[in-house]
Amino acid sequence: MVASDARDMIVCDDVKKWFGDFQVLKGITTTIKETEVVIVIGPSGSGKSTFIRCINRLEAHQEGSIIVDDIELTNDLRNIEKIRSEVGMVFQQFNLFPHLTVIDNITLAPLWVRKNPKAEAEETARELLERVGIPEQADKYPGQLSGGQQQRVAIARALAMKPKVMLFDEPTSALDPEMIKEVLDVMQELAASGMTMIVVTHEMGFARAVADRVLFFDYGQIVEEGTPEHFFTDPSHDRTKLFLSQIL
Amino acid sequence: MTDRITTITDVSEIPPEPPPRGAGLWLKENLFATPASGALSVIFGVIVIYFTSGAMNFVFDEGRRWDAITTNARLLMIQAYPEEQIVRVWLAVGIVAALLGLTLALWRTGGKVSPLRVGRTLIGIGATIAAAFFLGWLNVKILFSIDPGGGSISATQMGTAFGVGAVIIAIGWGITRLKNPKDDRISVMGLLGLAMVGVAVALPNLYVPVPGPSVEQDGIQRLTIEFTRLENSTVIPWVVIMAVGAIAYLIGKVMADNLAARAYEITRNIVIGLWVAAFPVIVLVILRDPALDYERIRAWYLPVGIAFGIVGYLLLGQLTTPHTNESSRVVSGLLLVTGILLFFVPADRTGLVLAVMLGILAVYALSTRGWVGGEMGRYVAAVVFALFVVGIFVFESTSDYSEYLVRWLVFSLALFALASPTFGGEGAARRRYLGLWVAWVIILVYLMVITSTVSTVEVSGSFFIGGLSLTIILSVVSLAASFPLGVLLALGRTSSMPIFRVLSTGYIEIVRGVPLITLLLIGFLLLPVALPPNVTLSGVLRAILVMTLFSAAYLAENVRGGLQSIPRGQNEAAMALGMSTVQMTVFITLPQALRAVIPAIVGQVIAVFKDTSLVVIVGLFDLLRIARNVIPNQSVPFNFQNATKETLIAAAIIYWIFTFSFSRYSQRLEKKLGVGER
Repeated sequence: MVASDARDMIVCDDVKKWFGDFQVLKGITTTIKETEVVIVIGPSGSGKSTFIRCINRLEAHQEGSIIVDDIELTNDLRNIEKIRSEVGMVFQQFNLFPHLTVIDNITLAPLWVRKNPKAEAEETARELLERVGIPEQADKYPGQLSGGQQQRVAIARALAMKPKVMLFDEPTSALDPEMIKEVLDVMQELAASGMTMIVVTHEMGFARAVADRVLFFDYGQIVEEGTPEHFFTDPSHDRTKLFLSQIL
Repeated sequence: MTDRITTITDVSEIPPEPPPRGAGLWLKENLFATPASGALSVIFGVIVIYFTSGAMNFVFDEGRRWDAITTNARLLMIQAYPEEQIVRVWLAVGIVAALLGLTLALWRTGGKVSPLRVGRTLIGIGATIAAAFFLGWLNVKILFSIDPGGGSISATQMGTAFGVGAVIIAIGWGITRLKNPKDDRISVMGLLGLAMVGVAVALPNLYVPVPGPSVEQDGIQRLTIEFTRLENSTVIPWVVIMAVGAIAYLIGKVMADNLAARAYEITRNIVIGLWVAAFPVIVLVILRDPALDYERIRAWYLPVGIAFGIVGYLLLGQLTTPHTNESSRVVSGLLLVTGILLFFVPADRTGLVLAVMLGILAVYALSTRGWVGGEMGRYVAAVVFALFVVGIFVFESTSDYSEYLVRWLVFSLALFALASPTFGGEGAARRRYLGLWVAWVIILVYLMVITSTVSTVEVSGSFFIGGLSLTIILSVVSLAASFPLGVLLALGRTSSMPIFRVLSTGYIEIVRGVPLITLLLIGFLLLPVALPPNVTLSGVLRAILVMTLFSAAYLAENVRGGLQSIPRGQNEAAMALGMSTVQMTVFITLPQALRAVIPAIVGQVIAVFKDTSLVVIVGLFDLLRIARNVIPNQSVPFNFQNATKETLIAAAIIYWIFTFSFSRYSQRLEKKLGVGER
């Protein structure tokens, strides 16, 4: 739940992006407040992944403005680095570093980006592994873990940088059904602890349970947004109704 | 339908039988499975017989001058290194043997094998010896005319070989008859030790062919070959060296078995450090024996080194704190430009240049602290710097090599300063980084001192050593230098910035399009023209430079292949975590890329090792030149003309030993790094 006086964490104003001649984002305007959990749903190709990748500059938007935690996202490297250290991201393909152990994966960025002392970084890493439920896997290599465990390590790795916002790009789409639950549980606990989250997902049950707000993307636009109660029981737009009827 | 189902009432386990075996069965399955493979086996067998017979007759032919190799072994290894300083060579070999022994022990090389395997290997060896001599005696000529006893191997020789072979087969067979022959319990290193003892015993009793006095026979002077024992001056050092290696191995084994994990790790790192240090120390100090000028060292090298060590320590200490990002970049940039430009300033101006540089740094530092009006301070600094840059180009370059110490130190300081935001940090990371700077200053001063003095080893020719030693020196130095250059080129070629891409691609394509011989000739003839007038490079340095540039281009393409094999998600994850491009490349991209291209890199290493034979073009005496040109041209005191076949075979075998070791090591490395497994 979002407090009424929560500050704006991410402000997107008329964000437009093209890939060559193809316009993938056609003017996205939305504000995400602190501790808010926003779920983004929509058909593939609708620009939802591109949208969240624009927030930490993995893609660059061409028009409009994105302001994260009062820092404007421009080509200025310093701003980009500052924003990236406050925004954590979890990918569909986990993207763990295969040549490092789990604990090295998690401590790499705190050691070299934040320049934390080694003991402190390791302690934080072990606490995070406890939090995501796999403390015993610390010295294994990612290749030795199951998909669900790898994704949880990825979440711990992102959390190690103590971000203010967590972005999730279809985190459970590459997992088989048994493992989806373990990852969603971690994400649910994270949401309950007050993290600002933007999650691109197809897990409607999760959206219903955890979201403060749901955004429906289609063809590069936000077609509809609302609370989960409104969204899943009584959507206004026909397009939304069509989409929900196909997946629910 | 019930009658279709058969119930099995009594199922007791059938005792397992041994699988069908036997030599006949093996032959049938492996060599004669189909008529076609049978025909191939027969053809291949005939080829083997023919070649073995021919080879044995070649080796034992009367006209063979194997004594050319035995008499000139020293020439092949070290060329004209003076006899009275030969102790240095033995010392160098001894150091390598000791390090090798330690390494084999600490890295737990060699496992255990079963007596069955040892026995079978011995049987195989014995049988091969007997068969080879038999085929040699049989003298199978082309078109299968067989002339038993008509070739170079006499019946007595064949008889001796049969005897030796039979003994070995008997020993092998006996070993296979030990209890539990399949248990792996014979240590490989133990066998190696046993072999070394055997060699040590055999060496003083070994008879090698040497040229004998020429005798008159049928009116013609004929050369004779005698067999004598090896000289003590050869036998004793080799025995000592083997002993040193064995003792080092035992010491290493004791350490490996008894040290705690942390100490073990540290010991391994020390040994790696020793290997890295051993090469320059052996080549530059032990073999070259520089005539050190202690006065100069006290007066110039030491003070400069200490001054830079301290200044660098303080500066880097300041720059590695996590919050000086922007000022550190500016300072590093200034230092880098100063460092490069200093290469064009004469010696007596160096002090002035450094004073100006420090002044600029001070003004900038003060301005960031607000003591001199912020913006104004930076403008002043910029103006002074511009004047200084203009002023530099009025002067000429220097010729005193030792002055280069200052230039290299400033340059190094600039690179360290540039890397400090990426690799510095708090606490342990910072101490490590500052320690690295101090260590680097020490190494740089040491190398400068050593290389800027004359060697006391007097040898005619352009380098103080030749032969196999020169081949090794050339290969190691050019490969070590081409590695970072190749990686940088690969990164440049895949960079997003057009200028790096264009420069790297241009370099790679041009260097790859020209044969190495051409590059060597270009380097040899054109480099003196291209360099500033007072700088001269010796022939060896020019060869090393060219080989480095050559090898770097090929290495760059190999590394680029590896870089492209890394999924984009890896880079995205690193960027999302906030890592800078440099950090991402060093910690994520390069380790994975290099692991993936080990086979290609080892191929490159093998190619470069053999390409060093081309330096004959620029007048150096490497192994192949000595084998091909020097030895067969000798007529005094022994006439070895027409001994080319023998010397070339010897050179080929030496090259093969090295390159085969590389490829075996690479297989081991791949296994260890888990290449090919996900």
